[in-house]
Amino acid sequence: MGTKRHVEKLPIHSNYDEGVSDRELVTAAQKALPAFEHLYRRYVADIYRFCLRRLGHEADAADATSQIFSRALINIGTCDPATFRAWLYAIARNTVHDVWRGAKPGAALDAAFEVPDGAVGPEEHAIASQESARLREKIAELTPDQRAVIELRLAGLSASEIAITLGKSRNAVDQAQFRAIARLRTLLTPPVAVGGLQS
Amino acid sequence: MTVFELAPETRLSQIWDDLITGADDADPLDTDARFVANLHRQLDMPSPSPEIENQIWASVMSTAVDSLATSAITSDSTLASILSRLLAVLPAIAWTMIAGLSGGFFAGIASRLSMRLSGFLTIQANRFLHTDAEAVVGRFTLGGTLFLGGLGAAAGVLTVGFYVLMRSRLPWTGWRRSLAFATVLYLVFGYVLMDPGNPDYHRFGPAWVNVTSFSLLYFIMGIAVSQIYEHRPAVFAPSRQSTHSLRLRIAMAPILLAATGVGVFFGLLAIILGPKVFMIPAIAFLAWLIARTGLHRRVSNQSLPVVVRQWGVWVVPGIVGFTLTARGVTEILLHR
Repeated sequence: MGTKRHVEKLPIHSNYDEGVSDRELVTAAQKALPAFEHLYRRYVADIYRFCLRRLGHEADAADATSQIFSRALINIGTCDPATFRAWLYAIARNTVHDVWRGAKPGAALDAAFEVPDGAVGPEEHAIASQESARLREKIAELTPDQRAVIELRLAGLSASEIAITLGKSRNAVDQAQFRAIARLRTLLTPPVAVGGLQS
Repeated sequence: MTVFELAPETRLSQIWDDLITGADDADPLDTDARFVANLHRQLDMPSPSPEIENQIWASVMSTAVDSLATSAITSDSTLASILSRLLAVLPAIAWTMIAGLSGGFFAGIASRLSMRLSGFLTIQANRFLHTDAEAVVGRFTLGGTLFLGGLGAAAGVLTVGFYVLMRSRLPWTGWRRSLAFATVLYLVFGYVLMDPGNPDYHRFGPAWVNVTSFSLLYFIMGIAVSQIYEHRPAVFAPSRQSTHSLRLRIAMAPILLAATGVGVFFGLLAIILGPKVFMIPAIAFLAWLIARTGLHRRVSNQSLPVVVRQWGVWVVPGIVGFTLTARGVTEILLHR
């Protein structure tokens, strides 16, 4: 069969391999609130990127991230240590929704935040941005349930965690996810020209 | 596709889970894996700079300190911590009771319609006879109707408890999930009402009409209870993030405690009045104990089909309940 090839690692930045589990950190934070900072440092990047992907602006993302962790800190006593990540993202979804409702008129949900990247040339960056914007535009055409599942998947949550976050069954999440991917594939496939070869 | 092959939805989910956790099982040539990986690449976002992280943390501490200063959550007060946690979950518990009581009361009143139908269809000679429950045929009193409503409310508390346990395992959302739950409720617990030993099924109207109308009560109960539960007002949510809501919940605490107390009372009433309904939960508890004590763990969890992994503990009590229900309905309909 030969040497096994591997799929390129996803750009998931969560710290899965850290020595201390979420459960231990949450339990510690419920007894002594200063311990919450460890949870903050672990998840701030993921939550910030989630907000940035949803809101499209750095200032809004920072503001939303602040609100999310404030709410999480105030209510840490009610959190089940076993499901902290799902609980945190449930707060994140509600907060982003609240911030989005108060966003400036005309702000587009799928507006991409473009950060100058010196590692690629302007032409490559423009192409990547176009593809990203097109993909974001197609995601906006999904149903709310499908979009929610895709966004949480992009944030690095497992299917079980998404089910807890959204308050749905695992089966419902799998179905919404499958339909979302099928729909995206359809939307992203360019139409066959009349008289052209069939694919 | 064999029984043990994964459904496409489950397969995609497993592939995505493997990619997220960095497992090496993903096939690089798999189209789903490549599509998902491309999705992540295209939509990756930049991380916040250390300066932004510190600014956000400063803002979090400033906001949280102000809120916590007026909150009962403190590491030095165990009683305050307990009260605060109770206050956090009390609205959700109270709403669960309200959903069970109101949905069940509605179904109990609806049962009066079933009896009205049976009474209408009975022969003249049966009027003013006593039923198996010592009620008088053809005579409907306010007290009797309210009694049925109360009985329904008691059953509703048990029903909503069953719904909370089943909710995450039911398919669909909205009305379709409620219908699925009502169907499961009828199939598993139908035997409680479908009692072939009750002569009233044949004395008052055609048996099939009585079986149909009383079977519908399960669907009315299941849909009413689940729909009320799902349409929970925001003020009854289990976790709130503002001191304003905390003050509101403190003010609502007497009402919430009363609703919870009434629900617990009716739940205990249901235990006393309907002990045979607890046969199924007893079997389910036994199956759960067996699964937890290690007998189940001897079989590799990953080698079992998904449906067994997700529904294994529920299958045996479900089969027992369904068998009893089917037997009850069949015996009533075939009795001469």
